[in-house]
Amino acid sequence: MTSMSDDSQNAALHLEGRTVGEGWVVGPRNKPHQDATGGYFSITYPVARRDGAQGFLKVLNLAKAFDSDYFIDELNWLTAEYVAERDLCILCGEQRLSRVVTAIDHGQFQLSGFLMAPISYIIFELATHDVRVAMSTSQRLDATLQLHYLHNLATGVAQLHARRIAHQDLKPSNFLVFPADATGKEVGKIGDLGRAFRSGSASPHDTMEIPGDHIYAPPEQLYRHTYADEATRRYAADLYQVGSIATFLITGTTMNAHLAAHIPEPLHWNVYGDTYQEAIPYLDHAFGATLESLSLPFSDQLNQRFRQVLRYLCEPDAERRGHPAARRSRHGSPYRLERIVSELDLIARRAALEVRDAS
Amino acid sequence: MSLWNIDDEREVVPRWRSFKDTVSSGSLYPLTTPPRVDRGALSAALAEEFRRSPSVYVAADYLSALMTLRDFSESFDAVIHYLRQNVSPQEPLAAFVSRAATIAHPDTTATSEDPPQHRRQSRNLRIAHLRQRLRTEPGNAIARVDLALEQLIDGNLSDADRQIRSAVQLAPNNRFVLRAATRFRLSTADPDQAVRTLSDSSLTDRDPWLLASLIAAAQIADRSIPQHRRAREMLSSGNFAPRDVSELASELGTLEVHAGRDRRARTFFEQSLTDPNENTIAQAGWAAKAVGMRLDTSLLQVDRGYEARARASARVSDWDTATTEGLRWLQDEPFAIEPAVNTSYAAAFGLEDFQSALKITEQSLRIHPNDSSLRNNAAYAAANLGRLDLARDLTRGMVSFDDPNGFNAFKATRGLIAFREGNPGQGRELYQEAVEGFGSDQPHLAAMALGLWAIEEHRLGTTWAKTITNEAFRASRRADHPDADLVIQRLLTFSTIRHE
Repeated sequence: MTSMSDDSQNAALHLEGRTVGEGWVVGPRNKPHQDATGGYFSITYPVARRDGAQGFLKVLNLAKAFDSDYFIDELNWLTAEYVAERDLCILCGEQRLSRVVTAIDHGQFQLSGFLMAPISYIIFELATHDVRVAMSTSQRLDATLQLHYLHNLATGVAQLHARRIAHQDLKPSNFLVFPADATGKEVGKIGDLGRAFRSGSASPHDTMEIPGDHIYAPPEQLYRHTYADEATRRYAADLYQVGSIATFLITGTTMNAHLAAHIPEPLHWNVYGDTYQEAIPYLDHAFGATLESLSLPFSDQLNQRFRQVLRYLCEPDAERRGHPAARRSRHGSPYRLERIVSELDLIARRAALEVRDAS
Repeated sequence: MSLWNIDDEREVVPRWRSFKDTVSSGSLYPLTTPPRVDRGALSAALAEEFRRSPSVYVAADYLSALMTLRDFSESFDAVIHYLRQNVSPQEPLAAFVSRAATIAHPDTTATSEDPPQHRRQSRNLRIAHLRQRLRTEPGNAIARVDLALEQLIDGNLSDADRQIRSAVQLAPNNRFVLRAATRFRLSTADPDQAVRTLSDSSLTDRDPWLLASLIAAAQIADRSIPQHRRAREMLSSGNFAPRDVSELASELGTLEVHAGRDRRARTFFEQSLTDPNENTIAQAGWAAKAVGMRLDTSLLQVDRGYEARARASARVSDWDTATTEGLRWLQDEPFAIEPAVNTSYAAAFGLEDFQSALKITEQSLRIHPNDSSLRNNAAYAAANLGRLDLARDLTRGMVSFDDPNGFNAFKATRGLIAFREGNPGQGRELYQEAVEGFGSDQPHLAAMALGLWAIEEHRLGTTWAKTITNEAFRASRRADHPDADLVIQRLLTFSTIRHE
């Protein structure tokens, strides 16, 4: 007798060699955790077309619902997550967001011969690597390239925020590098919108204290604090994560790791259960020590500018995050990233000059 | 003569140390513990990725995750090892790898016995560094408090006051800031402001560490304590760890001592000693005699228990230990008046180490230039060192004493100076006033004053020497006090030598 959670009856696990959508031939299934977008509900495969185009296939894994004691709730959750991500990907594709990984195909069909026959899928453009592998294998990793990636990241998040979308799960493995474009430079794009918040469009994870990966969560989430203001809760959290990846790109370590290294053990988020308001002064102190101790590769002047950008992005008190010009403005969100993007552009250009002069 | 009235009133005022030292003292622990997270599960994907296809930045990401979770398991060591093998020491990542390794495996050979002020970095450097930090981090309340502490120790009260005000404004609901502000106000003789600062914070009603400080401050300010009932509720609620309510129980016990309700006081002190800190052990030591409680001497071995050990040693006239521990206490709280007054007494009276006593008082007079007890102890040490101009300067304009004993000791010191200046008539008059002032209420102090007077008469070889010596012997027998006995012993030695 077979059960619904039996792998042999789950069509989503048996797509290798089949053709889906507009001629995409499915390759061997990726092992768990290998999917570059880190989905919560998915099985992933590489796909290719006869014209040489390659993609990344993400298939809804309904079997997860059958493994749960709360089948209906879980099924509802899974499908709602899938639909939310699919719709977001469609939107990003339609809006031609240049620094966000877009869906190039999606669809649903039944695969006969399996008890669990429905297949719901999204095909994404295929990245060369995530940024960690790109940096590890790069033959010319220098500050110019790191800042180029960072500029791409901030631009991508700004593109999302302009559409009232907060990513909520930004981390190095979700920042993907694509082959060189017309400018001859590799392009960094943000992937995995599976935990994103979209204003006016409810998603199951909207009520979660930590919607994304715990390890990369901003400090307010690590200390289990939920800001009442939605913009602070969503967009300011993204700002922190941009700053954290910025720190990773330049120093090899996330901001959370730096904070954890500077905050005394009894006040660390694993141990400290009192209110976030009480913890903020301790975090401010640890954050200041972090910025002071960061070993940065630029000139003193650029180091200062870069530290300032990190300060705007990663202030422990989320209500104080953001570029001062955006915060001063009477219109629009205080968390707008455009000024940060400009600042990063300036730093990147000056760093390029420094690298050129040094060589 | 100098003075240390060991049984003087004592409240459980909060300690004020640097942020780093305060954290390590345990007084900043949270009141609530968060739910545990499954750290292994959270980093499992990264662990698998590192195992399957390691590369420098995948390893760096994994190290970041483990550091974020403070998961210092075997995996942590493995990833550190990998990065040490694959990252050049010049890269920024290498610096973090070293730091992370140190955090995960701290040097356990370092001792915490030395008080915090034994740091190598000089005060000027620390002040300069904190100022520099505040230029880029004006909102850093913790750095402001640390700067205020350094400024206060440096005798710069007005700048310290500004920093404390800013810190309270920036972080009105932070335990470290509020307790430091309280201690600052108490040390600068402004207990009313201490009470206001704590009363204005919404945290005080919820945090027993702050409520204890508020009650102590109100007690010193001689103000009523509206939160008394709340404090009792906190103690009986069972909602707090014994460590968190130790100071509150101790302060309530102190209130009961003042009210003469010894049995209730004992109950509170017993509760305070369930999981005490060095402050509550010192308080229990202070209260033990008054309420008929026996303090387990093993408690005195508590980390940073300098005050408790200094006081306990002084009680049994172990002046060597009292001075050594007193100096540590002073290094722990260099801004505080109590360790300076008491340790200068232990050094000057107990050990006749007038050089050390003068040094202690001179340092503390920079912060408390008008403190009469301190000036008296300084003058006593200076006179014994033959620095009579300094001694006289120190006694000039001193009129304000909180208690008559201080005033009488001051008269005895002036008597000593007069003798040493070659004016025995005035010296006799002043010693006489001191002895009469102590009278039968303080027989041991009267005996000590007589003994010291007699030594001065012997020094000059006057006809008064024999009479005063006999009076000192009689007074000492009546007093039956080790301090008086010590003076008599010195008098005997001195008179024997003089007459040989």
